[in-house]
Amino acid sequence: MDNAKRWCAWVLAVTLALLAIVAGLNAWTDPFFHYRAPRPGLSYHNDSDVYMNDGLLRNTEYDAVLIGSSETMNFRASECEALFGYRVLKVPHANARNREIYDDLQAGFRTHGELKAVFFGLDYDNLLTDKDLMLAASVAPDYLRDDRALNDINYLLNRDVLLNYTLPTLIDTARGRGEPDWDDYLVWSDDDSFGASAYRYAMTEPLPEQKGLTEQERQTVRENIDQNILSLAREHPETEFYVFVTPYSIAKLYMIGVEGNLLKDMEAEREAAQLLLTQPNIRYFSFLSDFATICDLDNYIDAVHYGPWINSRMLQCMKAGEYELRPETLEAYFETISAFYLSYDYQANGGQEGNDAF
Amino acid sequence: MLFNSYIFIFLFLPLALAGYFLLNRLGRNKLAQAFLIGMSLWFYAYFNLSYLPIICLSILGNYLISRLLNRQGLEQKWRKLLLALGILANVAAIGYYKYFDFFLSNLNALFHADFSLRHIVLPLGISFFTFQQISYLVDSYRGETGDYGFLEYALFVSFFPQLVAGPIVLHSEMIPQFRDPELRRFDWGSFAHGLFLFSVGLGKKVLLADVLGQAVDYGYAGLDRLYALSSLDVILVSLCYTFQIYFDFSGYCDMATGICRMFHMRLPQNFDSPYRAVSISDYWRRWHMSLGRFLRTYIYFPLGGSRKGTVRTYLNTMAIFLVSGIWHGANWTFILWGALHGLLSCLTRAVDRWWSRWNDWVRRILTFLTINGLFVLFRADSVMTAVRYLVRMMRLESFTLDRQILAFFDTAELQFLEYLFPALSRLPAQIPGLHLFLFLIGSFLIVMFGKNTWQMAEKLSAGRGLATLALLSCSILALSGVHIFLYFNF
Repeated sequence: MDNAKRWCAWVLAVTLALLAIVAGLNAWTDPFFHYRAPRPGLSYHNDSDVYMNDGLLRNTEYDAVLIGSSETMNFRASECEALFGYRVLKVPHANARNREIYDDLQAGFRTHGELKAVFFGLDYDNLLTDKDLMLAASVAPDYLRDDRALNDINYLLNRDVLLNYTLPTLIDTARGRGEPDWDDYLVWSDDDSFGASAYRYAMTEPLPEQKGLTEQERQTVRENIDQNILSLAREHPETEFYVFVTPYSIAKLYMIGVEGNLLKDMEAEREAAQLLLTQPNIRYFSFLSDFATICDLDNYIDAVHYGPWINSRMLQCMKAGEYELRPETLEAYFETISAFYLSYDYQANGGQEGNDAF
Repeated sequence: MLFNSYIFIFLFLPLALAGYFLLNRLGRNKLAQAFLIGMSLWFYAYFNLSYLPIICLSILGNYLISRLLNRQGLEQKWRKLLLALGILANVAAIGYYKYFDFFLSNLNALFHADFSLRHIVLPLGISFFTFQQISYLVDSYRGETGDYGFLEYALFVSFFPQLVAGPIVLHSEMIPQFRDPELRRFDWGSFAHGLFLFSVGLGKKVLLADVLGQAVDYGYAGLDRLYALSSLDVILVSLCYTFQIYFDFSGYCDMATGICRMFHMRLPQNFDSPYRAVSISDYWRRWHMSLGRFLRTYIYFPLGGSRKGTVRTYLNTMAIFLVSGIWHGANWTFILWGALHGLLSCLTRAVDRWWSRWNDWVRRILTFLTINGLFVLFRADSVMTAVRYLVRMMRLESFTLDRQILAFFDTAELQFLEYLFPALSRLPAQIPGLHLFLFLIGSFLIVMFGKNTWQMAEKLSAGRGLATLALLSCSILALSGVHIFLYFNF
């Protein structure tokens, strides 16, 4: 009996001690910044938007946020800071929908009070989705987002956190790797090549007749924009919102067009723009009329993702007020882009056999 | 509540053990039983509060019927009627919750009707506690049950280790244990073995089944996915599922057995290394043994078993396998799966002499491959989908490996090793699918050569202590995420 008691005590004590050590290491290192801002000197592996954005939004110092889908990943916060004079936090979410961006911004406002500016990358793909649509791939787990302390056990006693983040961070720190460059956070462009050699799309079919926006879809756009952008702008009138439509490539616009949805998407944008421009603290930019960029496939790695020079150009244009739309220029803008994209000679640009795209 | 959850391991289980043994130590045996019933109902309701009235009514109703069946002086015809009513009520309950929509959808398909489906939420474990109570009613009718009190009966049905995924226990196995004063005392030896069994089961579930399960869910994500996979991918996914379902279900049973040992009690064996079977009949003597026992005792033998000639034997065999198929789920896939197992069992019986002359390993591998093929039917959404998967497998027309499937086996441990020793990361590039194949080969070796938990003696050694703490720590650290036990919905 004593033997069994000793055996149990030994097994349970060592198990609990091991778990306590793991929890302590994860809590101290805090690789997802759930409890505090990144510790100075630690070599964090800052490569996960899903797990790190929420912690960064809650616990780091900033007065402006640059946010959006993967279209915004190649921005550099330092460039934005230099141009606009804010202290900028860049927190893009791959595959994010507007509701997810809204939730992130709410966390930012909740923890930082009034922000000076928000740079909100708006994807064409996100205009016609349900206002509450969230994609699991870009939603951080509850234990990182909620305020229930007991739920943190999922974070503290987590093998993946330990092996993929905490230990590599500590080992790299011991090896003297130094702090990561936060300006590189989620920038992926350095590893990839661009242009026709990396990406080609066969734009061979003529566009069919294009469908227009239905009344129900118009309502979907209104609800989405009202809940996820306008409501924030109304609640925070001191914050300047730079909402910008990101430039998909001509190949992506062709793909939308062959499905007969190009006109519909442009009408959805018009609906969104009309709504957004009713709010005085929103500035609205659309890079869909940057035809030179969009029609040059060398700027893209696939149908939607462009190189960092395009991100840089967008920042400079926004600073200079280029591609900005106002109520009085809205109609002319839509006439220009619809005339251009609906009559564009796609075959001449991409009438070649090639890889498909997403 | 899941066994593999923080709340269960760090709160529920210690609380249940402490409360139960403390009350018994104070001589409050009835209160200890009531406490355990209360804890079991909490365990059950944690999944969904709306399940609670269903199980409570089921326990109450069956207990009342069994009391009437045990009543002295009740005429035989009334007892028979009462038993029939009791069984019918149980079957009606399971029929409504589990099969009503299936019935309606078949009516719609057959008669081009348009009955709207109810989309009824299936109460977890209903198949288990319903069968358990049917067996109790039959035993009551036969006069084989004792004069059990309500608390004893309620605890027999609701005792949380076996409540939602079995094994299907008999009153004669559990109630005498509840009554035994010796077993009401905490026992360190029993607790130690229970802790070991629990850690083995937890390891099977979270370190093996859940990793395999990711590839399975991906591979079975519809026909579009199937068309994107090669024949080799589909074969590998089918093997992943065969291993997953075993590690998942037997892992659950090991945990249940371990928890029971912690309570100084025992559950019956439910698995006996089933993939070592040398025929389909042998497989069914080793797989989900408590279900097989139920079907034999309460259906096969009353139908005459093998005593009424060859044809009746085959018919009786088919009957129990069809019931087994239906029991597993409301879909033609399960019914066909049961029927094919039945046919193969009959075939085994017919050619037993000839088959037994073959080499054991040849028979074992052929049996394993057959089981693997039939599990495609078990996992697929429809019979047509299963057929497409099987055709894809057997055509052997392409042998590329899907990168996403491979990625599921690139576990955190392997990634960390590759981080420490970067040269290791070149291996998977040189040998495509290395991690996946190692995982499958490891699984195969475990199921074919590893001792099962019933073959492991109750001993205390440093080696076992190390194994227990290693499995427990690694498994607890791997808990984060979503895990679903496959056998909850049967």
